[in-house]
Formats: sequence, structure tokens, C-alpha cells
Amino acid sequence: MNESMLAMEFEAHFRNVDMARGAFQGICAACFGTDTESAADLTMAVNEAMNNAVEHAGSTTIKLEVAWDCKSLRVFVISGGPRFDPVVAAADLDDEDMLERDEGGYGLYLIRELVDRFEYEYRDLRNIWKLTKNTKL
Amino acid sequence: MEFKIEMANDVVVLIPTGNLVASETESLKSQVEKLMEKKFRLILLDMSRIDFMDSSGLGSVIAVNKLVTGAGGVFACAALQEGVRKVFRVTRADQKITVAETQSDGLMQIQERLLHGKG
Repeated sequence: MNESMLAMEFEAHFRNVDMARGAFQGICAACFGTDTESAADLTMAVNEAMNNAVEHAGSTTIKLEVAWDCKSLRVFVISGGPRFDPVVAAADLDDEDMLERDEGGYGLYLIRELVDRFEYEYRDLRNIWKLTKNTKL
Repeated sequence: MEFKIEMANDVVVLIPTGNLVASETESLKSQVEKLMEKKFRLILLDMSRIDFMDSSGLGSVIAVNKLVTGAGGVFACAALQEGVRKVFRVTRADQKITVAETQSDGLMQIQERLLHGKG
């Protein structure tokens, strides 16, 4: 099974998130083909993870690592800063929380709902968010 | 982000073009604030030209909804593209904000809410 990989590192600014998202959309198109819904779901989830890193991690740079084959696309969003486990935080959210929320706090819930696997690791003082979406092939 | 503004009777139809994302959220808020300063209170956000919206963009839509309805006005969104519609659906925002299929449906819903005295 051939696996493709791509990595990019950028300064932690929202403008750079926009550019990284554009590049990632191209990878999704190559991986998911006509399954545009899965591509859009993962693009949204990765965008949220990168936004969170810019806003909360206190890291000067963010690294995006992408690996894909015919079965799935896996994304690692890596940033420095204090430990924060988004998987535990997202697990606490439910429909009622969404209805009660005001202007913020939707990002983690979106990630949880839009990917097939959402994992977290803290290693070498870095937060590593792993998002996986399976292809429908 | 660019904005086109149209008037349909007393309703301001605000038509942004581009991506409603973290780097752009202030532009929507400031555009609506300018309309509010000019005493417009009926605002329809036509989202047909929004290709991508993230949770920060959604937060800005919720903020302007609150701003307009808090001032006794009526606010609605219309003509959402599929990806944007999904963000509304997953986060249940479509239960907090009036969402119409088309711009003309949105205009009708604003008039109906006005007739029934709802913000």
C-alpha cells in the first residue's frame, strides 16, 4: 500500500491558517476524489485544529503533517505550549452544550463530529492532535 | 472579504464574498455595526457567496444575530452553501438563528417575524 506524506510548518497567524487550508484542500481532493463531503469534513476539522493552535497554544510556529493512502488520510497538527487534551474536552460536549453556547466554543465539537478518529498526545513539550478520516473506497 | 449591499423594501440584504473564517470575522461584525449606526434594524445575511465558514465565522454570525435582535431588529441568514449549512446543523446554530433556503424566502421570513412582533 503506497503512502504519501507532506509536511508544512508556518508561523502561528490566522492568515497562514488560510493558506495551509488551501494546500490541504488540494491533498483532500487527491485523496477523497469524488467524496467531496469527507474532504470538506476533514478540511473543516483540520482548520479548527490549526485555529486552536494559533489562538491557544502560545506557540510561534505550527506544524502540519499529512499522510494518506487508499484507506485513510491522517493529519497531525503539532504546536508548542502547555498541555491541553482536546479529546477529553470534546468528549464532555453534547447537543445541549451546543444549544447553550453563545459566540464561541464550537471548534472542538466540530472536530469530534466530522472525523473518524480524534487522538491526542503530548510529547517533547508539544501538543500533537491526530485527526483521521477514512476513505469510502 | 467584500460586501455587497442591496435594499429590499426596509430590509438590508448583506452579501459577503469569500471565506468567513478566523482571519475575517471582524469585517462582518463591523459591517453590521455600521448598518446599525445608520438605524437599519432588518438585516438578511445572504451567504450564497461564502465558500467556507469555520467556527470563528459562525461565532461572528451568532454575534451579529445577537446585536441586531438585541436592538429590537430582525436578523436571518439565507442561501447557505452545503458546507456552511453543515456547520450550522452540526453545532445546532440553525436552532438559534433563522435560516432560509433562498434570499427571497429569507425576506419573506423577516417580514413574517416583523408582523408577528418577533425579534
